[in-house]
Amino acid sequence: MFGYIRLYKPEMTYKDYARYHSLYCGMCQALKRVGGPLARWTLQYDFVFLGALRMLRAGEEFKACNCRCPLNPFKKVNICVSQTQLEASACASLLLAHYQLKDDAEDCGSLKKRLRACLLLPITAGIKRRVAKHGTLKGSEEKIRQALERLHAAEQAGETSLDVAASPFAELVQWVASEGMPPHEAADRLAYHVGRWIYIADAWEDLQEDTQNGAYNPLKGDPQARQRAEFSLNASLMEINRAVAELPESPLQPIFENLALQGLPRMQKFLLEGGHPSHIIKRKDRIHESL
Amino acid sequence: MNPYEVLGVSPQATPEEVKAAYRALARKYNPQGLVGEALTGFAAEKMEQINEAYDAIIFSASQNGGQNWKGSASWFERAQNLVTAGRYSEAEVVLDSVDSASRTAEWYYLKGCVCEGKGWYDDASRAYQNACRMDPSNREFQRASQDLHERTHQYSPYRKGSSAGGDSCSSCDICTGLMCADCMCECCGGDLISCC
Repeated sequence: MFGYIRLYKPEMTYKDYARYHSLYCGMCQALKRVGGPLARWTLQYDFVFLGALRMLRAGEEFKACNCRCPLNPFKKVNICVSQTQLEASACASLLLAHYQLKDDAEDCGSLKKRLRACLLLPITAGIKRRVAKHGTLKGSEEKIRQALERLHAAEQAGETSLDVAASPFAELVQWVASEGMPPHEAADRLAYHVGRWIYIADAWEDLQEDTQNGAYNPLKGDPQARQRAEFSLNASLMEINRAVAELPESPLQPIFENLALQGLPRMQKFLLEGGHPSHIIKRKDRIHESL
Repeated sequence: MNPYEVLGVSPQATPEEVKAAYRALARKYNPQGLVGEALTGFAAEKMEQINEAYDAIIFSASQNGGQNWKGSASWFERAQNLVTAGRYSEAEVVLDSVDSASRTAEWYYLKGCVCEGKGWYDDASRAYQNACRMDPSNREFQRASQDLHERTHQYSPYRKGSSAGGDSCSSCDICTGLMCADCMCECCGGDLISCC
């Protein structure tokens, strides 16, 4: 359900992009510290976003060093060294990856996915033990399990309301962004609606496949699926834009602005026109043609 | 604190007067739609006082038995008051207690308001549509549904002039186009813009 959160680089200043990239590198390090070297392969922009939101909320100062990346030692890169909040996000990312694989291994229609899940499970189980030992983001395991159970229950009930179906996931994203933080209404709303947006975008993207396989999808069988998905995505974009305008001043704020005004709307347009999120990178030139 | 002073009504006020005063104050101090931390904080504090005063008056009235209008007030009024005051979760409890056989167009309309307040826009849109279907002559329901769609459409990447749309035509594009056309015409021996 991930890979939808992308910033739109051409509209970023170099400074903001460098900051974002150093957060990405910092996240990679945080993953290693929380889950061991193999955990680096689960690195995703979505959780960089959650880590950045936690940093902004906690008022953690952004610091970066210019050092060598262990995976590419010949090149010096900027790496964010203020990692307390990134580690919390890394923890959630690793646990979620484990439980999703477990889910796939138990009841996934596609044989290829199931085989892959079975092969990877022992590795992620080891990572999960390390995460538990590390001890950041208390209670996350329980929360993630509960959210996945609620998602399952909605699937079993054949829920057709996008909001009811999306709320367990959206609430989980909100929890990851807010656990152990001082209350902040706008940041909560931002995280909730980013989660809701991701769920609906994913539901729309999988619609065709799910209809063919007979799998659950809240949009299935609705002749107006596209309009409904588009309306709900726009509604979440509206809430995201409003919430971003209320975020506290921070050097990280332009990143959220770019996401709300450029990154998410572009991804949404791309998905509604039938694209796959992983292609947005490959189709760089097409996406950038408006420059 | 005297609840009657907070609401600005006399202790002899009728239930209708109390309700009207409460509704007017709730609308005035609704923290939603206000910008700025100091302002929203003040409004939220004021709202809390107003709610307490309203509950206190209703409670004492129902205790005295003289004007037991809390119990007799219809779910519609109670839910409507709570929605106006922005207390969506309480309004939802009131609405959910109505059995499904007696759910009218108004019920669906209020349900839509509650869902909208919670940020559940898909449910809100469907509830408004149900309300419109059950009572097609009601302008308010239609306007609520249209408003919701128009507001969200402002953030659509397909909106005209959206920076994420990428297909807008600016005045610079027009000038560049004219210059190119002029150059091409001149190459072929003609002229499009005679002064350059």
